Amino acid sequence: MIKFVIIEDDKKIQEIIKKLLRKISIENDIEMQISFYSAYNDKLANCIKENLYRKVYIIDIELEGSLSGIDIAQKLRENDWDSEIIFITSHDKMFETVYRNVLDVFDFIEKFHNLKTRLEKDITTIIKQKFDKKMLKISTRNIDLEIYLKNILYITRDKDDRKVIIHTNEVDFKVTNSLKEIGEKLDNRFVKSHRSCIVNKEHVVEYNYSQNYFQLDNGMKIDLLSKKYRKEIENNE
Amino acid sequence: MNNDLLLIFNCLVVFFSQWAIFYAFEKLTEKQIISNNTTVPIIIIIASLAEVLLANYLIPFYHGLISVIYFLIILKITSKKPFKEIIIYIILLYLIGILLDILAMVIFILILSIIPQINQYMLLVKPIGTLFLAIGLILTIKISFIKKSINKIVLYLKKLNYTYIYLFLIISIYFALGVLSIDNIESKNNILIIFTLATLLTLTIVSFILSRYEIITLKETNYYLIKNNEYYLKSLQDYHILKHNLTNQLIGVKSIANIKAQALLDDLITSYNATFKSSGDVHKVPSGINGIIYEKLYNFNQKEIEIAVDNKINNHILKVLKPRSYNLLCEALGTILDNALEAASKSDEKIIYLKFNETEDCIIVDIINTFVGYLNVDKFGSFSYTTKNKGHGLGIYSLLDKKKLNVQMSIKNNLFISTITIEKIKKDK
Repeated sequence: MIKFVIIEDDKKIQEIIKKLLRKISIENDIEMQISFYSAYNDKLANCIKENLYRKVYIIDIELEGSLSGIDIAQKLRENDWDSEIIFITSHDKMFETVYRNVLDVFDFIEKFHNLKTRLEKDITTIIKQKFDKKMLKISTRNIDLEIYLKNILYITRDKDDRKVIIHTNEVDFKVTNSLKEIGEKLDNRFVKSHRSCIVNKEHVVEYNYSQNYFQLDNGMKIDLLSKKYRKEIENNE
Repeated sequence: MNNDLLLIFNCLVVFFSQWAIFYAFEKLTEKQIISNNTTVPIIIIIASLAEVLLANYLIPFYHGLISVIYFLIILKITSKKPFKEIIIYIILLYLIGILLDILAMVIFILILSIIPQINQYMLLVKPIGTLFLAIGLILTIKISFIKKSINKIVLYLKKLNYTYIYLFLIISIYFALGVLSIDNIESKNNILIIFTLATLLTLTIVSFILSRYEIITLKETNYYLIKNNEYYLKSLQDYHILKHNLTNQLIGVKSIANIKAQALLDDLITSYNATFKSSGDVHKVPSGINGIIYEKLYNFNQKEIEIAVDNKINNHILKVLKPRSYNLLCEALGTILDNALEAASKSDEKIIYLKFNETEDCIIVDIINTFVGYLNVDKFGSFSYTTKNKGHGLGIYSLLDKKKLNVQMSIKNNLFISTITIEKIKKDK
């Protein structure tokens, strides 16, 4: 069951979205609950707090009333980072990159340009990805670290100081937890490839046991593949 | 025991105890004082001789005071650290010395009760006690917990103004007198000691008045800063209008120009518009603070960073914050922005997002930036850890210990989120 929360003050657009969602529901055989709001009110506030279902918010940025679509998204992100947000706007694309990153927005769609096609494509992708928002959370004295599991490429133990390095496409994070402790916080997409390496299988394109490396989807070759773990890797595939 | 031998032994002990204080200071501050300075051992030798020779002519209180001044001067010259910091280090080292002295006395009394015939060696008690203190000091400083604690106390105390330092000094002196010299204060010397303490008390009061005066001056400076800022914003607005009109005029000329002139005009139009993608948005930042952001952006000179601002503070910032809190906020914002600009500039998506919010009691500022590269999560925010090319690792470290200012940091994937929380002026209910 997926709950769609549509925050849009234009009745015509509301109707377009409603028809489209019904179509997607039938085609993908997915149970949906749809609720409409035209502005921020107590009911919407309660809906944001409620966390029984996975939610997809489709929000118009330019709303009548005191709170804009961006404000509402900020409010919901105060507690909820699991739901997906799609913004629809007639606005130019100013700061799209900023909010896409800061509020973890799935997409920005222009109201008067390919709305149906883009929205259908986005919702289908969200359904396929199954709301993959699992996170690895580590807290230290000065900083709290949260990384989406899907963003982690592999995790290694540093030879020199025995600390663990979590590798993502953008940043490498060095932490003092042991590889075992980190491993316990991960799900079954991760597998041990070497005594000092855990790899995210979803990012691996090739395992080369003869030359002891695995290749990632970004082209990197990592020389931390041991035959000892072959069975474990293949059983998990 | 032979008197000459005793004198030599005394000299050696005093030399060792002085060297111990320099060594302790060197260990605490991690500044090379003895090892990098050949004149320091010579000074210690001369000072030790002087101390032994003058010991009989000075009241213990003044003997202690002179040695404090001596250390203050030598450490200032050799370490080049601020006076305030050196005073605090010396006071703390003396306090440790006093605690060790109490311990030495207890041990001595115990030994005396067990071996009564030790009375014949009473002349050796003082130098052996000093030797015990010096060794104790060296060993104490080697304990990393104590070293870290002292450095934390220094960090906290150096934020206080001189009024509190003097008060602290007076309390320490009273403490020292109470523990060490109570038997030595004879009636004729009391006046001198009271006079010294009265001088310190006067200095405390003067310093207190000066600090009040400083706040008034700060308020006045802030007023002029805001005026300047408003003037700057107006000039900036005029500049934007001028640039806009100029660009339109150039586009007009371009439409009737030949190909070469068109290329030239294209260059000109691009150069007039090459600025921060969102500098126009910075005006949303509360007046007074936007000046800092403009200055940081100007100094950083990085034209591709996208900056978005979300401001929910409607009041003038100085109506909700005390001048001191305002300065703290500016300091924190400046430091975090430096880091954010450098980190964002290296990212593929160069983004900084500033969010200003207020609750009933606090002003909350979120600075969110993208970043790439490498981060040692456990060391972040600790002394001398830096992520910047030319950084010292002191900025964030110093912010984390600030009183009346809370800075929290978190990372969400490739976003670095810093949250500054600062107390508002309390409203009378």
